[in-house]
Amino acid sequence: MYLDLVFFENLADLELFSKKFRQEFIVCRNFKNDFELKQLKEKIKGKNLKVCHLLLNANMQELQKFRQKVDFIAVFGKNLQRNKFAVSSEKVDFLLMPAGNARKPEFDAGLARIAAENKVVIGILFNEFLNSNPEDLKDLLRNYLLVARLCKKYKAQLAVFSGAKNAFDLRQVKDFASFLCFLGLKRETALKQVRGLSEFLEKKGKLEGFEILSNSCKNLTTVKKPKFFDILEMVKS
Amino acid sequence: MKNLKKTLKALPLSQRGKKRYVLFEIFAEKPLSATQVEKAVVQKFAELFGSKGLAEQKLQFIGFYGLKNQGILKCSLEKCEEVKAGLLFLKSISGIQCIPSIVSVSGSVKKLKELSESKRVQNL
Repeated sequence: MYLDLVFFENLADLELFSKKFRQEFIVCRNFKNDFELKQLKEKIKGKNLKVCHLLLNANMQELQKFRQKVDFIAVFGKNLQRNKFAVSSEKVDFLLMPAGNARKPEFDAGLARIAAENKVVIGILFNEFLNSNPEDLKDLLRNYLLVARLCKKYKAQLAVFSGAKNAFDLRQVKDFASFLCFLGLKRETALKQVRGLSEFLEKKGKLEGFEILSNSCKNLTTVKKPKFFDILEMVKS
Repeated sequence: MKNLKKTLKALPLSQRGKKRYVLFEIFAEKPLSATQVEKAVVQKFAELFGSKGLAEQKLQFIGFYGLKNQGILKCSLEKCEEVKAGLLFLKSISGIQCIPSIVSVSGSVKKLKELSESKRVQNL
């Protein structure tokens, strides 16, 4: 299962491309209050969409407030303080765009190592690359070549999302493996990073409920919402 | 000057380098023509990779089938991932907004054409 993170809520478009691209969407937004979150949840009720709260500043209170209410918590980077905050907390799931197009990338080896330890996914938004002018694109690529290299070295989970603000910015997540190759990763590593995101989130306890088809336990073909470690124990036994 | 060659000897297969064909699909608001797509692809690739990059990729536009909105690009095996990444950067073609997606990569055009046909039948 491929997961894509978007910043718009047009249900018709999302459903159409979910079928076409065979992927699921995470709707990401900075919720000002509970009412906004409730409204969105009502809007997407019954749809196969997940909700993510986007933190725009290093605010622990906001993180605590929304942690239980949404599926994922993301922090928008491009700032050393926000990057540090995001990677140092296990409660944060995604650190989006750790570096911008500034001369000095706000991401270093230390942050990559802590992100790997705390299981924070480093998210790259393809939308930023797509909508930047050639001069900015050059700087962005320079910084992200470094980010990709550091994540590879410290084994931090990298993910590329479309980060679309409208339907025309959407891309198939499967194709982002070639974008990671473009950023200097080997093909095998890039494919592993793209395919392994859902498994990584499952291990973190963020995605629950999947089917096991095992020859050893034919009577237990479908397990309703089991936790990852329960299944692992069951398979071992 | 008697024995002047009229044609060059064909380059042996082993010297030509391996190639790959990329089948891509474009979702757009309006139907697109092959010329429009080719122009947009070459322009974007030149902007991203430069002339040297384009030469190394050995990029060749095989065709674009307007009815299916699918096209085939030929490139070198070593630069196949670069070509796939470059296609993702296509945002608009002749002012028409579009969403590119890679369907498949193969070593022969025949296979891709068959795949394209079967996909069309599935969609119908």
